Amino acid sequence: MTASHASTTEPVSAVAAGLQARQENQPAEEDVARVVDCICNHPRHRELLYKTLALCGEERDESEVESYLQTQLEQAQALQTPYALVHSLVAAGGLVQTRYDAAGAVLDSTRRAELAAQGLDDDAVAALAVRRTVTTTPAGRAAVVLLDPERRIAACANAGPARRDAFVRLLEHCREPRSLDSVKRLLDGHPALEPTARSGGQRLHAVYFIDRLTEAGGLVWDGSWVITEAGKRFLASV
Amino acid sequence: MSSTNLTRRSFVKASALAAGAAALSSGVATVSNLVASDKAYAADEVKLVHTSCRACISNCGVIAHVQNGRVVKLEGDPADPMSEGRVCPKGLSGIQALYHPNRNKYPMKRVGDRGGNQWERITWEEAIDTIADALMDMKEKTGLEGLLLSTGGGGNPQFFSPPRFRNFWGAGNVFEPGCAQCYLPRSYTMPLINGVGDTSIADSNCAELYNPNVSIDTYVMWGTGPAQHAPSSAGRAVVELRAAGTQTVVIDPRFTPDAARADVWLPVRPGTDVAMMLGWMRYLIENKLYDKDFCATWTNLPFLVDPSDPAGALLRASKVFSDVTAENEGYVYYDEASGKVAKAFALAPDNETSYHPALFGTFDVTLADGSTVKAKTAFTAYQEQAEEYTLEHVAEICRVNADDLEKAIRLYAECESGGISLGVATDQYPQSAQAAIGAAALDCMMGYIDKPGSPANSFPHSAESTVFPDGFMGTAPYQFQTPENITNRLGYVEHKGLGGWMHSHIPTILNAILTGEPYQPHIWIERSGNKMAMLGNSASWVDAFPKLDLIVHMYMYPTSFSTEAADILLPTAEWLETAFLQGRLYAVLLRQPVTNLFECIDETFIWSVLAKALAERGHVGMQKAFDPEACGSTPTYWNTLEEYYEFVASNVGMTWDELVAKAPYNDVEPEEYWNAPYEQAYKGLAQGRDGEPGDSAYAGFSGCAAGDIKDNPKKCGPYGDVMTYIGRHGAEKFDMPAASTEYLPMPYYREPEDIQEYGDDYPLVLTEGRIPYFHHGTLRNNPYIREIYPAPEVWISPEYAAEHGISNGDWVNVKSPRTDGLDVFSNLDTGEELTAEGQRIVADGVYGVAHVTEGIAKDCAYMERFWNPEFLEEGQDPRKSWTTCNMNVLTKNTGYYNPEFGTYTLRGINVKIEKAARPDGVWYEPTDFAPWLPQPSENTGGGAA
Repeated sequence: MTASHASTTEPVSAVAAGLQARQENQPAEEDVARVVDCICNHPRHRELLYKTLALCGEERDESEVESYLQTQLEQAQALQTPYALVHSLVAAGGLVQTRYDAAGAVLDSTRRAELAAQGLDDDAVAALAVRRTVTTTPAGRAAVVLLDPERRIAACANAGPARRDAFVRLLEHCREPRSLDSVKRLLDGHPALEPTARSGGQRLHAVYFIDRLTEAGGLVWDGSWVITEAGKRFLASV
Repeated sequence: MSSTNLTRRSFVKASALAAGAAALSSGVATVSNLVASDKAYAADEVKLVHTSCRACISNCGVIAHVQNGRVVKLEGDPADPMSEGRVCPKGLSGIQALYHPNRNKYPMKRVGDRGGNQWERITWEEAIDTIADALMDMKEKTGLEGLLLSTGGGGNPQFFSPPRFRNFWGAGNVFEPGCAQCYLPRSYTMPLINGVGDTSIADSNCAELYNPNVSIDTYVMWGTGPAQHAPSSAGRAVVELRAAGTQTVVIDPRFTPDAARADVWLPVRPGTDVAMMLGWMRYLIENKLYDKDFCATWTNLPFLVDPSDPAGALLRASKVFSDVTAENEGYVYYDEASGKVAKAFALAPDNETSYHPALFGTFDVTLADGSTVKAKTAFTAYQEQAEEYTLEHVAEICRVNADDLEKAIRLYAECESGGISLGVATDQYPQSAQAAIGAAALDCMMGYIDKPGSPANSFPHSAESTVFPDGFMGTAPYQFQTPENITNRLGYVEHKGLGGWMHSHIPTILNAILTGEPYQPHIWIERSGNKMAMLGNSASWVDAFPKLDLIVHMYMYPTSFSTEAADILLPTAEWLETAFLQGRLYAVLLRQPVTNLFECIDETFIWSVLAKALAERGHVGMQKAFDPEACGSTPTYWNTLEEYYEFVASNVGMTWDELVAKAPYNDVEPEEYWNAPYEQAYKGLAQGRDGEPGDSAYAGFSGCAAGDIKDNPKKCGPYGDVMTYIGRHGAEKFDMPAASTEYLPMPYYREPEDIQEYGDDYPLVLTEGRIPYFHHGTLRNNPYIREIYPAPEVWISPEYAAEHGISNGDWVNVKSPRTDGLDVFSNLDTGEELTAEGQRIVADGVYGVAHVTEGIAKDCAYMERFWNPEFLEEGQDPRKSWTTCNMNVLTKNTGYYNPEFGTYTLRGINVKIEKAARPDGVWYEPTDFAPWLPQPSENTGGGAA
């Protein structure tokens, strides 16, 4: 992108248009909520979507983002293609897409109107785009902050004192790759698993801690359970 | 057996052809008019196929007319002794359902976020591989327990499919929106009380209604309306009974067709049936209308209650007699002849004259430890339990007329033959177990058990709705599940009645999904129609879907659940494409595939396909699921659809081809079938194994004693001591931890919660109930049926209508504490609200069309379940399909659940109703439904071909 190009970006949806209309640094709460809902729409895609928003704090080629997603551990479990995931974020207002023609000009609404006046239909205009980029919006950036894994892990681990020790022990345990059985042995007999007065006599299962830390971004499955970088940073902070 | 429409002309033609062919051998050339074809039928030939409808659970016999490979007509099959050739709108809609343009034709995978409606076609192989890989992955990561399966809701499910799959898998949970809210409470509890069975008409357990040899003097239809739910079979039978002179009592908030023709209609306030039952008991006891001889001889009403037991369990003989141990445990009674407390025993010809139990009284009992206690009889306990429920008090609670109430009781009590059929109404709020005990206990008190004209009868070939065919789960030599796996089913320790269907507790499942406690369900395979229209407080589930790693929806067409939740859609077959046996009194019907369309597969077989994929991936349980030695009496899975068909036929000792040729047929002749043993079933001598003579005692009622009773006195159990035992120990082969709340042996009345907490602002008590056009969530996309019933009716009284300016036919808006965010599903442990966001989706309430009528109980309203498939059409907002006219966003999955089953509240919630405008986008005019007119299609052999 050369300096002569307009710095305005091209909104591809009404949501994005709304974002542009607002003050850049103060996204509306409902806009952030929409992005958060998108990230949390499906557990298989949560970390991929989060990482995408974090990556695109600077403008990135879509192809670069898709390639990045293909290298992530979580992509193996994804039910949607990287392309679909990126465009979910665009639709939710977490990313804004920009299209450039061969000359490097932004194909914004003004440019499209000019091209339409010259007789080009929508397909022809779309065909002019040779480069597509995505950039995290203010709402997307706010969602990144809100859903920062360290923050999630801390919220998870600190939700109740009775369970904090179990969460921390599990993270420490998973500095090495661990099987499910290994985790069960680790937490067997831990007081946090005891039934509460209102749990109908049901003991907490060890997998509860695995699932909560996975949801928080502290553990990931790579053929066994391993701590994430965010999990390590959390441990360093306690 | 199929027959061709062979006319004389075509026969002659065929004969000439045959003669011509024979001449070939003589070398004479023959003109042949044969034309090569790849079709298995002759053009224009109409083939008649005898099958069994599965548009609902009535399973009436149907003859399908098939021409050029297409189903062109349906009619009732006279071979069915229950329907006698009649068929209802649901059955007749089968062709439109079969050829519906919106059928799921092949597996599909979601494109984009959940909540959207974009899909791409995939192969069966990719679909099954995705699901199997996900399951094996889950097993390795977090274990077996994360599997969640569901069924119900209509749409011809085989209810046993999910529990079977889960059992072979080894752990996890199964649920359906019915179960604890539909049939399970009655099917589980009533046999334990009356020793015979439940008296559900809809589930085909009242063979006596069809008996040509008996007359029924008084028939009580309690919370059931056969004219609505089974017009072809039970509805017809009741019409004929009334014509023959049977007097009927109908207890129903709605003035249904059956209520309109009843001798007494009691428009009971929804949620108060148990108060009425206690009132009936009080009246019977006070006026000595009970069958004294039956109560004394064949029930546990004389048995003494343990005064020190917190739940009121019966006194154990081991506490009284030092020579009684756990090995010969029994009950005790006070013998009036000897003046002593004695151990109860099974009656026999040589001891029955020595049995003189006191029915009423409180007696001094010297215990084995030397102390003395005062113990009352169970019947005395009932007398005390029912004491406050005078006619006037019941009339006030239930909002009925006291004189009508008395008339109804007298009709019931002062007849030669009769009994109570208890319907689904009482299953649908948290007094489900108590009502089941109450209705069964009433019939016990009257001795209406195994008598001519009693609904509570044990016919040898009673028709049932294939909920759990005998032997389908069975006992397997291989241990597919450990006791720990079974005990880990969500909510099972608390609500042990769920074990009857091997199901789990829905609110506990929802809680687990949302909180991860005690463990997180991960993969949900749902095999039914529209959970968003069937689950209580259904909006509370929206917050749950994002927590699940994979959601699969198996159904005939997309529904709201598909769009809200599913990642993969699997196309199941319609009932005209499936196979199973159906017993109908003495007849055997075969539901057989008339055609097979697109890539659809009978859902019973889809589970086999998935099981095979898991077996190939090394799942040991699924490998054993195909192994007859490992399975024992439990049927294995099938490698091919043909194997499955042979399994179906093997249930009656035939090959598939033999069964197709023979069915429908009479398993026994009617005369033999109706020559029922009646009282000899329990007064006859006990049978040993294989029909050999057993011990010398009478057969009695052997299934009503608690699990610790080894000397079974074989009495039926109106005092539900067995329920108390189950609450403490369960009914598995191993002892379970006790539930935290005792299961009490007698019914007790509990005022519904909504009216107490919200009655001021939500003045109407809402009920729901069957109509003849739909079964649960089905057929809202059927063009002709939608034309008849395009929108849900909302029944309100003229008084309420006048107060609120509502006229008949006006659209109205209905809201409840759930839609208004006042009653939010919360963490069962901490009370933290969990689903406020999801419930906010339905803050506008739902809509229906007012039917202003005096035929609704005082201060009540009625609205049946509904959803709007038109919002799944292209360009529409799919969320509106379940948020516009769906009364199950009003219902209640919060608060109190009964101990035995964990039943929540679908009937007896409180609402407010105001005049409104018709919501945008709702299809209502007949021509609106034209896009759904059938598009006939070729027989492809289906997806398993």
